[in-house]
Amino acid sequence: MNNQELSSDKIDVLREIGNIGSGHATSALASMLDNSLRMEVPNVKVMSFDDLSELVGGADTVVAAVLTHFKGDVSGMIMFILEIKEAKNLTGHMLHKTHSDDIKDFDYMDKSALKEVGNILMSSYLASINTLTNLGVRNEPPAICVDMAGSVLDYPIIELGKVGDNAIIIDSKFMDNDEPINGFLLFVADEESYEHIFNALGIGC
Amino acid sequence: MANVIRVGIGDWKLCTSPDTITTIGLGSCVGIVIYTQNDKFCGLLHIMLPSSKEIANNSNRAKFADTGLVDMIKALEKQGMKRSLMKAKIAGGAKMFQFTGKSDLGSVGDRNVIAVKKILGIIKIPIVAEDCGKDFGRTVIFDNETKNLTIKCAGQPDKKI
Repeated sequence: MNNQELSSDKIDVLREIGNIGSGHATSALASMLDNSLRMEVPNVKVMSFDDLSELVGGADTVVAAVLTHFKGDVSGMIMFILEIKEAKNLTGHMLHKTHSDDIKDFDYMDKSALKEVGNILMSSYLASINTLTNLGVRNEPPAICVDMAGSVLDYPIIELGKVGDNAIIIDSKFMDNDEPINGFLLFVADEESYEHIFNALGIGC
Repeated sequence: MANVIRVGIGDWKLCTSPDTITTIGLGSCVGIVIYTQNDKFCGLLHIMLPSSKEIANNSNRAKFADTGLVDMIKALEKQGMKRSLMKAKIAGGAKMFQFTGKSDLGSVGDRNVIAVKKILGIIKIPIVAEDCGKDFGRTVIFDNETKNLTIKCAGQPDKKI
């Protein structure tokens, strides 16, 4: 299967998985952030590698990214990525602190908090695959990296590069006190896994 | 007016002074610049994977250390560069994500650097400077007039190799 040839049926399925996942994630995050939090309907896009870093402001923009591998009937990796200033807004809110503009001003507490947010988002998304398809998915502990978008995206792009030249992006925007926090979920599964998902839902390739 | 030529991921380009050539945000990828002391032109390659032979989807030859280097060196030779005078500077091959409880056996960054060194060794192109490994991303800019490879990292001062 070539990602570029994803039919609208299949995009709908991924969007629905995103919707259910966002629903789970929003309620879990809202209780953690002790705040009302809304999540918009996610947007599903198929993008080329070169365009990926443009999502977060270009290859040299500093970003924070949380990444986890998953295994089971569906295997691959999922990444939650956002610009450092958005990450600071989010963790500043969680930890009741204000950050300077220095990119080094993002300490282990910030990283730990963001890792937890990413973990909740990504686990919710994976759980929704299980809810919808009954396929088994098990995620591993996440890791975090703060660096230039290009260098952070190398990791999933190299994995994707083994099978194709495109990525499926689930754009998950959420609002905190009417202030949008732009985050992106990058979902990378191997070819077989997509077949498992679509077959389980009766829309085989 | 000098331009800055940008090389994307899994790509290579040639550049003639006074233009400079750059590739942005090398993580586990590796950037390889090939030049000589006297030629006005040089080449920069941005590889993603060590070997085209391990991957079925290998139509883009510039993605791989083996095919990418062969193609770029051929193009440089076609422009009149002598193989025996070629020199290389390399950067990248970092390990961006540190997973707990996972063995580091053959991280792709390390494997990329090893593959590049092995190939350059076989074809006898000396690596005169390198900045590889560790856990941070690098943007590189090569100025063929000074032969300096400038390395920019987020939150660190620039360095020249």
